[in-house]
Amino acid sequence: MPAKVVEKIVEVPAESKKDQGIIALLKELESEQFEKRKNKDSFGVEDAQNDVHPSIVTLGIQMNKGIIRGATARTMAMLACLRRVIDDYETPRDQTLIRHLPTSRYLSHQISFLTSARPMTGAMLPPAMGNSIRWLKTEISRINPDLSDDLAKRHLIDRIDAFIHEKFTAADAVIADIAQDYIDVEGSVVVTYSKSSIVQQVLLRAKELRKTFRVIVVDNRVTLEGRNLVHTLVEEDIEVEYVHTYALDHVLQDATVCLLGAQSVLADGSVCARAGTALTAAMAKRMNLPVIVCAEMVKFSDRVNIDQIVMNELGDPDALIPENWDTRFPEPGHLKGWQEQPNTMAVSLMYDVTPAELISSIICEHGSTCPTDVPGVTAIAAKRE
Amino acid sequence: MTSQLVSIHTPGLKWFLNHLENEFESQASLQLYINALKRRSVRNPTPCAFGTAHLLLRLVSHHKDATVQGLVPFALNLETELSAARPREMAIRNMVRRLLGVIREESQNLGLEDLFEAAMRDTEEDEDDDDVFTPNKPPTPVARTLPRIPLLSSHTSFHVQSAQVTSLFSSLASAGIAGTRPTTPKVSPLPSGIHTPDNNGQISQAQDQRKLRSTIIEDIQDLIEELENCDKNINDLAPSLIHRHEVIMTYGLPSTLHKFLLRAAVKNPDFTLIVVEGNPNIMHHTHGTVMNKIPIGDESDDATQSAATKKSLQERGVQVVVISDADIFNFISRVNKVFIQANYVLCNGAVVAAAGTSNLAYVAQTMKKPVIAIAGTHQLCPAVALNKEDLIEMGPSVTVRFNEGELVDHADSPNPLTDYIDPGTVAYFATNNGLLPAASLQGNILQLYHMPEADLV
Repeated sequence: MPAKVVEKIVEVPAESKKDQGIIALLKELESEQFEKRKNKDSFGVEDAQNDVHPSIVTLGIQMNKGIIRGATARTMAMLACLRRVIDDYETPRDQTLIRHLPTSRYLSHQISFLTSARPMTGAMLPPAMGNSIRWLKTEISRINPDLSDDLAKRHLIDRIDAFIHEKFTAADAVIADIAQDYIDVEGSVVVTYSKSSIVQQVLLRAKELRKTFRVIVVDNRVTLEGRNLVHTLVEEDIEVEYVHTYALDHVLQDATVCLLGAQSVLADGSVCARAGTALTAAMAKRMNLPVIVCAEMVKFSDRVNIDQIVMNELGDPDALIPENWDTRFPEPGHLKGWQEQPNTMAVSLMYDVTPAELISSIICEHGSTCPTDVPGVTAIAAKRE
Repeated sequence: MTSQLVSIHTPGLKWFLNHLENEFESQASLQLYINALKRRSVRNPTPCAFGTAHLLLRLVSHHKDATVQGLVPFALNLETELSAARPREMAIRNMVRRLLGVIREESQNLGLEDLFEAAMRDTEEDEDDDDVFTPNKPPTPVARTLPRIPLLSSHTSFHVQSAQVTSLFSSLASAGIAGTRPTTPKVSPLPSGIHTPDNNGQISQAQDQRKLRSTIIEDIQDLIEELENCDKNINDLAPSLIHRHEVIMTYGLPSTLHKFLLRAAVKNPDFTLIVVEGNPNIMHHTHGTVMNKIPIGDESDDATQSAATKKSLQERGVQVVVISDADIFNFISRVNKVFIQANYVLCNGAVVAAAGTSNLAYVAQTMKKPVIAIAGTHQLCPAVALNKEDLIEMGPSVTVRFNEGELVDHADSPNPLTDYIDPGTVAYFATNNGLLPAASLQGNILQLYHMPEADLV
């Protein structure tokens, strides 16, 4: 071994090399999803076709800016907007409501505007939204053609209200009742990841039942959604510990149960949720904690997802650049300008898929089920409708 | 602009080495070093190892009683005193342990292993029985350079002992101290200066002992050289560990790991590197290294840290992807190998590393991806942890800002700086002694320290 190694550097021109493997995959994903977002800053009314309802335009922009986040919030907001859309709908003179409203000529415009608001392909529409739209279309087709337009609209609006109540409000209450059982009257330490509206309800319900417990909110550094949950819990006088993903191993030492929310429950029992959920589940499972996923039936999907990256939604990579908290250093993080550096990528994905084997049980409004039995539950629920 | 604001400079390793060079004075320098450790102006394994090794070199060469009986208690006391300054910075302790190993080895070479064993036992007994036998023990243990009479137990060779001339006083003294021991009173073959003022008949051993200092100093110099070449020797493993078209995932880009990857990229730049940005304590460093910028105010890392390389990984042709900790699970299935930088490696294969590393290591393990920890020999500890909490260092909160009054008041936000990764998670250790599989780690560590058995922390 010579004392000084003269390093011969092989010249590889950055451009000429053909990307392969994961880099090619990521770039493909980027071009696929950011094509729609190229004019991200200017996403707005001009992206909409002219018969898109104003409330839908507003919602689209809110989704695009991330003001309305999360599968439940987005679906409920969408239903509320569609309710307005139907209320304001007037059947063109030579058409009938049943034939015009649900088709590509009207309702689909509204939906496609919403899907274009987030960089995702149609196939990746959260099942909660997809399921709701499918339900609405079926509902419209079931309308008695003899009804007058006004009555038909009245009927649809009632049905939407009932749907929101049944699938979200009432379902959440039922789930909260079931899931709070996992929190003991005293001394439980609940770990949860990021913010899930349903997990928040479970915790509030447990507090309502005068249980004393501690919550550890593990957050994603990029999205920081967990902070919302912390604020809510602090207001409710629940003992909270707040950490980012890196401290998982440390905080899980004294946890007793892991409660997670979901974006969707896939047919093989795996759960799609905010990126980092799978990591939390894996670490909790390692500690032999029960990993409980709370999800309304409407989030159950008949699809499976065996690829973590291809079917994922890309987040804003610039969100990785940390804002500098230290006011003495006004300049942003070192990562700024990574786009100009050759061969460099910053990637932040929105979701990940927690494999079924990491989950102890999934709680929906029909009760608690083991993840392998998800198709069975979906079938039974479909039969009941 | 920022550089002006961070110009307040606490004396760090460089300053200390300079001090050793120019104005060394045993007690004062030792105290200075202890203070620097406590102040954390010397921190992280490599700087601590450097500082301690250089200090040891000076202390040993200026030590009055450079005999086995003189050096063993001296080293043991140093170990206690230095590691008390920073108990979790085990490199300090490791270095003193290496010195002890060196003393053991050299006394064996000179045929003085009995003396060594005796000195060890005596010092340990000393610590246990201090209250009983030496009520007027000097307040600072390290000041006590003269050892008490070593006691040799009965199983040591009688022939060697019988050749020694025993003074009546020391026989009585040792018998008195030995108390219940049924052994023939054995004495220190070399005078301690108090009990046995005469040393006639010990000429050959005394000559051997005289050789001791120079050989030990040589060994410490070797040790320092080993530290200096540590990164380079680890890097030599890089080409054999990273191959074409592989996808490598690392937790952050600490300097040793970065150099390792740079070296791998020289031979074969045709790999993809996925860098997990790491916890907020190391995140800025990771980002800076990825962008090949000099991290601001980053003295936390080694003095050997090269701020920016001439040719970055990307310029060498490596594809670099930065992801956040939360995305580990999304990417792990497409990864071939996982590299982590260990702060410390324990005998049983447990690893202490930057907080968050355990997430990556455990997920990789469940996905059956090989996890390779990079560690220099100074980071290999001859110890086993019984309670992992003991090894985890906590820092001030970084996830909640102080202007968020509500959160600060009501929500606890711990910030562990290090993680303890259970034994069995890391499969291989890339050290400057070569690539060690976890199974052969213990043997290698014990050999490194010339120890018969591992110590429990």
